[in-house]
Amino acid sequence: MSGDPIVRLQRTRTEDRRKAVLETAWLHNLQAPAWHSPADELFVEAGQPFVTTGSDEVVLLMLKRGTSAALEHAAELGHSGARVYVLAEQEWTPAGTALKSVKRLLVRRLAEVPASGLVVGDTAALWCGKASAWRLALTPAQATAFRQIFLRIFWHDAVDEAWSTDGRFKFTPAQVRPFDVPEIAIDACVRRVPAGETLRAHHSHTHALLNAGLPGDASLRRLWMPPSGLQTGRLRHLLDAGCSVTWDECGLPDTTTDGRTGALLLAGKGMRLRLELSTDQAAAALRVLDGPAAWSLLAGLEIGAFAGKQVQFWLPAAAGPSALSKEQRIEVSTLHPAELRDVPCAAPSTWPSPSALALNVTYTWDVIPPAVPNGAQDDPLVGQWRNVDRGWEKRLGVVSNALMSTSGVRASIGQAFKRLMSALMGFERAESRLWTELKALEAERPSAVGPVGASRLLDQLGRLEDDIGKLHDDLERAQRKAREDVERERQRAEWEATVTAAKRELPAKAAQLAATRADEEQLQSQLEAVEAGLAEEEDKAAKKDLKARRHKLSDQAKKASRKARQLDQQIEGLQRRIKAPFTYRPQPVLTAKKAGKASRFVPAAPKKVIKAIPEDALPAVGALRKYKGRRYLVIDDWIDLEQGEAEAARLNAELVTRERA
Amino acid sequence: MERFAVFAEMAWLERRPEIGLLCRAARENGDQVSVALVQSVLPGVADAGAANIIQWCQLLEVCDSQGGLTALGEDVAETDHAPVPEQGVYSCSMIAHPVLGRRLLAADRLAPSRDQRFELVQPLRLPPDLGVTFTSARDPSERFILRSLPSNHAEVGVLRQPTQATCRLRWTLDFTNEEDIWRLDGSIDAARTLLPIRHDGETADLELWKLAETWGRGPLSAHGRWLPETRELAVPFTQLSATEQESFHKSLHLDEVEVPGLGRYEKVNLEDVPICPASADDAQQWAFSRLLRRLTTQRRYRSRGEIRQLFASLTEETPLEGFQPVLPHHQSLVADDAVSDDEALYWSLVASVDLSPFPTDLDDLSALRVGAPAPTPSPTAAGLVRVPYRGGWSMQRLVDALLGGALPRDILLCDRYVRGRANLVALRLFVEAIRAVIPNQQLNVWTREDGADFQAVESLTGRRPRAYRQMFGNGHPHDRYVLIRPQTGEAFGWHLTNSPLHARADVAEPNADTPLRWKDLAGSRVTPRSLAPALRGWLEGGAQ
Repeated sequence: MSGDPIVRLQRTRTEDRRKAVLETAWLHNLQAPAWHSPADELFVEAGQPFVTTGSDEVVLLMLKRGTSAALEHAAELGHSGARVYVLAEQEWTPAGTALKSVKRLLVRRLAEVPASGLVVGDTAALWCGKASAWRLALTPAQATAFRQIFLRIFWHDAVDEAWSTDGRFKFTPAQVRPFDVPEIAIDACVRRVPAGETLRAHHSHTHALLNAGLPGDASLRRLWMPPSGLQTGRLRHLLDAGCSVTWDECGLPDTTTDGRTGALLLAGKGMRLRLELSTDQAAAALRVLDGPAAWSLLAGLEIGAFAGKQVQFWLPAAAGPSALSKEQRIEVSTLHPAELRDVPCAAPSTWPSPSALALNVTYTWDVIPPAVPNGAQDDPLVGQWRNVDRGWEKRLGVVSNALMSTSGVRASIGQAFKRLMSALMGFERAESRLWTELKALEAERPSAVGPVGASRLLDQLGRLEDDIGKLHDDLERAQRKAREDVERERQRAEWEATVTAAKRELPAKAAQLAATRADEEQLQSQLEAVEAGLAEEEDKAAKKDLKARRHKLSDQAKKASRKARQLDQQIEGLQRRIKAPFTYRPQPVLTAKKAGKASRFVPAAPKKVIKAIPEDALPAVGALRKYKGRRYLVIDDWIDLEQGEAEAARLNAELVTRERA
Repeated sequence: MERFAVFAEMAWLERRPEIGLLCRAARENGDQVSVALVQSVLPGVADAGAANIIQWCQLLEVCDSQGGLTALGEDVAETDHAPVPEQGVYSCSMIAHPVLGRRLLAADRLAPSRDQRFELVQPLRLPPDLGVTFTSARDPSERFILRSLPSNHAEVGVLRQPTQATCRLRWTLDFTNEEDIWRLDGSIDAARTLLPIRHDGETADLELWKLAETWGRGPLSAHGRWLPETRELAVPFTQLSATEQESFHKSLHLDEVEVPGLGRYEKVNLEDVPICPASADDAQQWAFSRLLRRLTTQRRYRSRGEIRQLFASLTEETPLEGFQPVLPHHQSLVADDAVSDDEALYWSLVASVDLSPFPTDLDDLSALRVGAPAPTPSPTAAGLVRVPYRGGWSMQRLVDALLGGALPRDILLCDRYVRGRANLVALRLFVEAIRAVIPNQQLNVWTREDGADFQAVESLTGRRPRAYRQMFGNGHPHDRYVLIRPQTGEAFGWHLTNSPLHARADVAEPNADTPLRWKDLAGSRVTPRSLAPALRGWLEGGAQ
């Protein structure tokens, strides 16, 4: 397999069909001359003069939509003074037609009239066939029957009516009839029949033209019917019986005849008009139906024989005629092989039938490789390895942060405790080694090395974490020792300053004490003298002075005694400080609220972050996906096919390509 | 109206049943009040007492001096109300007119007073009628009689009183019913107010047609010629309004008329005077005008037969019939400007003829002279039946023509209007004519149920009729049909242009052979195939 991406493939196959045979088909000779009527005056085409006999005071015009010839004839007679009665279909109005200016014009309308026809005196004609292409001059009996049909519809079925009032027509609901018009006899030579009735050829009839439907069981020699893809099975029986099945756009309504009798059945949605042909009319119809036709139904045609000719075929069940095609391209349905390895050689098991008119056929089809279903998710194994990798990265991150904090701690210790510089040199070397190991582990991923390799990597990481923790402990211990030494020195200096100050202050205090005691004794003696004088003194004034002096001396003596006690205490305190030895008092350790968490300077490595290592390794190629309990190995390139098949087998997965867009 | 106070002797009619009893007994015993009669009515009364009672009756004027019951006595016998005489001064309201005489409409008793107003007393030259029972115009239950007006030197003096009262005489002469009634209306004085006059109407018993004849020679001659024998006023057509043409009556305004003996009257309205054409031309125009009016006011398509029938119905049994007006030939009719200029009318007439499904000789387009027998039609073709107008056909003749010699096994008459007394008489004749061919033959009838008396029809035909709705649903036939299932041969039917039940007899008890008056009726024989499904089904034996 080359290194091509795995995408949908398009394949082709070609077949030669010139020997193919058509069982039955309508053949349209496109080079045939345009159809020409061979009929005589009984079957005259529209546009010929309309010659009347008898009274022409009253004109009955039955007007089917799309017929202008009958209207023109009626208008001509109306302009000559005749009263014109029009039986038309709803929505029709004389406005804009030649009848508008006829003075005496009465119009009644209904949903549908069965035919276009004209009755003037003893003369009557019908316009019939496709686009009213034919005008049939009626025999007296036919004219009488047609007139009665006109009357019946006019009086019984019309729904609205209008007459000319200064050239304007205002249609109002049809007024009630003045009498009953007898029903048309079911065997009348012109009669209305239900819309569903078809023209059944009489057993003696040899020619028929049916615009729709099939003839009865009559032994026809020639059948005209519009080509279609329907009913060719029934027509095949007629062909086998020797009947010529043909068609051309002669425009006749349904017709059946043997040259002596016959019938016409005009088209209609609600009711149809059936007319029994007279002998002359039947003969004229026979001449029409014996004429040439551009279409014919044939059997057993080898299509290669018509290659390059101006013909069309209308095949059974086809919607329309078609010419031969030199080549037909058939797009076969897209294939979806189950195995990726089957994609390059996949082909349909059966081939669709080509057009019967195709001389060559080319099949094309697409092959779509199996793809992982839309909505498939990563397989749990992928997630498990991803968790392992994520835990691995998280532990590496923690270790890296710890190691990085070690550098900061070491730098701060170096600045604070210059005396530790030599020790810190050792710490820096250890830290450098740990960084090297960390970088090596960061280059690895557990998922890339499989279960065994992943275990090894985790062991290495565990050791690295321990080393970093030990380094942190050492740094912490050295820092604590340096901090105690500094504190001790500070306390000793402070003690020495205190002793020195006490020694310097003690003599002054002793001198003050002696002076105070002397003053006290002097005051005591003076007091005793006053006491004595008071006892002896008789003079009140002098006695009073002595009493005041005694009070004053007593207060001074008490004050001097109190000051002497204070000085004694101060001197005792100074002597105690001078005698006291130096004692180191460690600094109190600040305890956190939860000593356990903050007790460690370096956070513990998150060993449990790493989930259990999966038993299976990830595939070497492709992506492992899972959908509805099934495991898929997705590859994108044919070059991974063989390795992918092995990995898919190992992992019990289907080998597929990526999902379709 | 005069109002005055007068001294008079009056009598008020009051309820006195004993006198009424006496008068009734007298009326039953030769209109004579005798002692024996009084004693029979009042047992135990002595002769002298009875004579005394008779004397009182004479005083009351219920009987004359001979004991004969007077007109007042007859009235007492009828009403039990007898006059009670009294004298006094009365306030009277009086009117005077040739029709009603000098009549007191009200009389009120006045209290005596000494107001010394002799100079205000005036003579009453034409006093009220004496002895006449007047009815109060304020209260018709109050009746009174002015018995006398006592006075000195035969000169009645009254004290005239002012009044705002009015009184009008309305006299209706009903020539048709030969009765005249006059009534008073207006207002009359009451205590310090006016009350409407109450009057029930009275008659002058005129001979009205003699009066009309008199007027015909007088004021009516300005309007036409009075024909005493027909009691109609012959008028020219040009003077008639549409309403007068249709009603054959005319209201006239006469400046002055005289009722012999009862006065002359001005500005008289003579209403609903029967009129007739003054000439044949007037009759022709009149008839044609009525036809056009009916055609334009009731617009619809009408067959020629319906036009003929309509023209006949608008002229027969009217004053026009005697002049035998003529319905013009169809071509002339539609060529008339009144028709041809009206598009809707024109088409309603011409389309029905142009687009008729019947053979041309069934549609009689010729002129029709009303009241005169139609010319004998040319021999009708086979399968056609035509009853000529006024041809004197009997029902039997029609039935024979319809049967065509076949003996019917079953017959159906399909006619939308088998109702009304006259139509049922014709139906009876139709059944009798059939039974003259096949005794006890029953007749099936299909008709509209609205207004039809199915029980009456069944009693005539022997079969329960069927309703159109039941047989045809909503698609009712317009025409009439007679369908015949013969005992032998093919069933057939007749499509009729009119109903055979429209035939009318001029005698009280016609029978099937009685010549009848027919409206246009023609029929064409039809086969089952050309009939509506329900009729075809019956004719082919599918429906009973």
